[in-house]
Amino acid sequence: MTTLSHSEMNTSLAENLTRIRTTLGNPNDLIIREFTIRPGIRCSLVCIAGMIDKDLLHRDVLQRVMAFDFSESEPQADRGSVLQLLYSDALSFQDVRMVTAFDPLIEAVLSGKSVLLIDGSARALEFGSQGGPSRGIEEPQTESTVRGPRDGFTENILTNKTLIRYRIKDPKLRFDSFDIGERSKRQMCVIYIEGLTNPDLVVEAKRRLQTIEVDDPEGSGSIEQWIADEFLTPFPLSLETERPDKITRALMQGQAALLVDGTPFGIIFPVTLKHFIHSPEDFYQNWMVATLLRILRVVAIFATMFLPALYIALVEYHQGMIPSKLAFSIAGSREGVPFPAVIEALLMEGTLELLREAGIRLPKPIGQTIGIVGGLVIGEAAVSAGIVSPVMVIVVAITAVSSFALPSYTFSISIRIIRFFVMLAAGIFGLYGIILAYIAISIHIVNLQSFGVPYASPWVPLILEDWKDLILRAPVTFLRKRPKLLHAGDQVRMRKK
Amino acid sequence: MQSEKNKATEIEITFTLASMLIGIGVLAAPRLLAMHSEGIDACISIILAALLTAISCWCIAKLAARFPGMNFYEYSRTIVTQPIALILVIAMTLFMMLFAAYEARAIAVISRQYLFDHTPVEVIALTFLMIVSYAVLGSRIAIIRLNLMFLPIVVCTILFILAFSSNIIEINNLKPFLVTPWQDIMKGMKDSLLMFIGFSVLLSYISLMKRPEKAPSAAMYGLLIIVVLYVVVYIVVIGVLSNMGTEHVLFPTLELAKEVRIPGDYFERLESLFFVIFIMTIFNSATMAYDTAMLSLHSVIGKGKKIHYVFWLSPIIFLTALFPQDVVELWELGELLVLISLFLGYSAPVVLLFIATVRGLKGDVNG
Repeated sequence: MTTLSHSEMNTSLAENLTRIRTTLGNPNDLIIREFTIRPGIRCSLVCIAGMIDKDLLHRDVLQRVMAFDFSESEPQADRGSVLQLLYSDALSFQDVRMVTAFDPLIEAVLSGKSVLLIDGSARALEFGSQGGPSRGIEEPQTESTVRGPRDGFTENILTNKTLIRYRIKDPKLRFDSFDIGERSKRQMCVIYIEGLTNPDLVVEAKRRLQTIEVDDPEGSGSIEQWIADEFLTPFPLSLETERPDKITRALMQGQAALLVDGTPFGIIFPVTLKHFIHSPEDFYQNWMVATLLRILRVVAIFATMFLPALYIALVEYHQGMIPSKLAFSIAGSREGVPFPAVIEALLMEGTLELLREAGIRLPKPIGQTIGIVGGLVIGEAAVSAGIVSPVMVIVVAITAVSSFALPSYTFSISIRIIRFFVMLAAGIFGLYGIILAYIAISIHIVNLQSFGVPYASPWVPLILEDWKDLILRAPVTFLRKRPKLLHAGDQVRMRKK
Repeated sequence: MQSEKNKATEIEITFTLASMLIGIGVLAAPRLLAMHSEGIDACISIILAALLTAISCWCIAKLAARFPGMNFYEYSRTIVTQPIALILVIAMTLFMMLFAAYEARAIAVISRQYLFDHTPVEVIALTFLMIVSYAVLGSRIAIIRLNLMFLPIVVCTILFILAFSSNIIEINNLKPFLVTPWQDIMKGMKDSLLMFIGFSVLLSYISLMKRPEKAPSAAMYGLLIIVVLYVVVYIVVIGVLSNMGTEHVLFPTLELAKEVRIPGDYFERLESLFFVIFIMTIFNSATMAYDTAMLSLHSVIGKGKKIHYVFWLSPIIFLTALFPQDVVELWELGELLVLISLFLGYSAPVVLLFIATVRGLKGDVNG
């Protein structure tokens, strides 16, 4: 049997049904509703229970088809044109398509559509009647803002697309969909705006997506890794988000985005360092407030990465650099602490990470308790037991709070990982170690690219024009152009009227 | 578009040159200069040295612009036959390796003096070279961009130190003017060349430029920044430490930072912090020297991966860095570098450009 004949449908309804049953292993949630329309034409509606919208199917398909009198409308027509007639005269369902091959038919049934087969015809009608379980639109869990919109993506890609379409009514908005995963056949779509997004970027993204060969891509996080430029890096090379407004904004800036069915996280690419200190809220607020908040986030990044290391270096190697009064109080508080500062720091930072991880795993109400109880009790007990110094606890606490101040969860994780290496470097070489670590991180970042865009731009390579929306968030009336670093097709955001 | 993105812009070349020149020289050279001159007369030496450097930089830039897309070995082969070109390139490789070793060793020496007393010199130099090797293994445009990242920080720190030391300058230290005999000025000029060695890296970086014809002006701007900075630093150093004082400390610029008091005493021992930040620019110099050495060698051998070159060159540079027994020998190494630089860095480009002009040689634009 050749593959072609394999995928062709039979004219006999009974044979087709048998084939569907055997292919799917005759599961008990497979619904095959057989009925007859006048004059004696046998039909079958095939779908899977639970994945369809029952009411819709009943009202717009079953009722209509069953009531339809074929002999009246065109007595002479043959069986083949029955489907065509049904389509044009009987059905009130919107999303109807003709299927001619067997494999797409099976795929349609499996993805929650329903299929109408008719005896004597080697074709079938497919209805987009997907229903099934889906969550309502809720506020994004991982990225809350004060003034932003409250809707977040859900697991359903259709809903997610709608949330974006609802915001951008540009006819050039493109959702290029394709299925991914040998077995899971998840729908995925690349979103961009034709004429605005750099076309090379879209081509390259699609090329990379084609290279994914896996049975199931397991959501957007895994696809993100498949299409990343580099895997030897702790930094995220694309930005994940639950917020439709974030994707909308990214599209308008000349970035492209990706949605995958089954996950509430979309991906934005390409990204550079600056995107991780920006929050959508920056644009919902006064520019001064936004700028100051961005400065705060940059400080938070540096505090997370270097604060514990600086403490280690100063206490262990360069006591002379601490102002004398402070030096005395630090020395006083470290009285009786048995470990060198680096061990002390690693111990406390390790405990903190443990608490954080435990807080995520536990059910929500308990999760918060563990933060408070664990943090306070362990910190207090460790100090009074003389294992760590109070100053160390302060340092650890500031580091922790800083790391949570970053808008991107993935980015803050990478920063926290790097922090441990910087701490080790400081433990071995003091300030010299810290500066070498800083240099090494810089080397790494300068060599990184996200979809061909240098990760450190617009700092290096220097694009001064883009600095208007970097740390500074210039007043909105000044942001007339899109960021240059993305090479958008249409550079101008605002045209003078 | 991809290749366009990975080309160097004019400002990057300006920063590259500036970043290459700010290195160990600016920390140590004021001592040598103060030895031979009165007051701040050595500024004349610095400016003269800068003029000399400007001529050579201009020649290098012109040469590169004349033979676009060709590396040093390729165009010197066209100008002065293969054997001489080969000697030039090998000498350049060795010079740059020696320079990288010098920087690594100097870092180790200064670190021991200002940061920690117990850590062995070898370990400090080794870690530094490891970071340099890591940078060299990355892309070459990244090395240029690192300059753009670090130089502003370093220059700001220097300006910060200068600003806070302005109130402790003794005007009397700066006098008298113009009393140093011209022989001493010339001697000082030779010493100031220590602050300018390494500009030859332009040879390998101009070819990365988007518009090589803009290279001469870009290089001149870089040099201008440096000269102004050097002169101001020298004046402030002499103003604070006096001529006598400057002669007797190893690293006058760092001692200057020691004298600085920040109102409120938030920091103490500013010189350690200053030096730590200064490591960034020394790192840049060493990296570019190493990269140029690697590139020169690669242009001769014509094949091989970066990792293989690093595998062979790094140990050699490390061992060379350990060669000087003490600080005195390190200074001798510095003088040796200046001497080589006089031939290789200063004379060679001028001669090459002269011959190329006389013979009317030009690079094939399509080649």
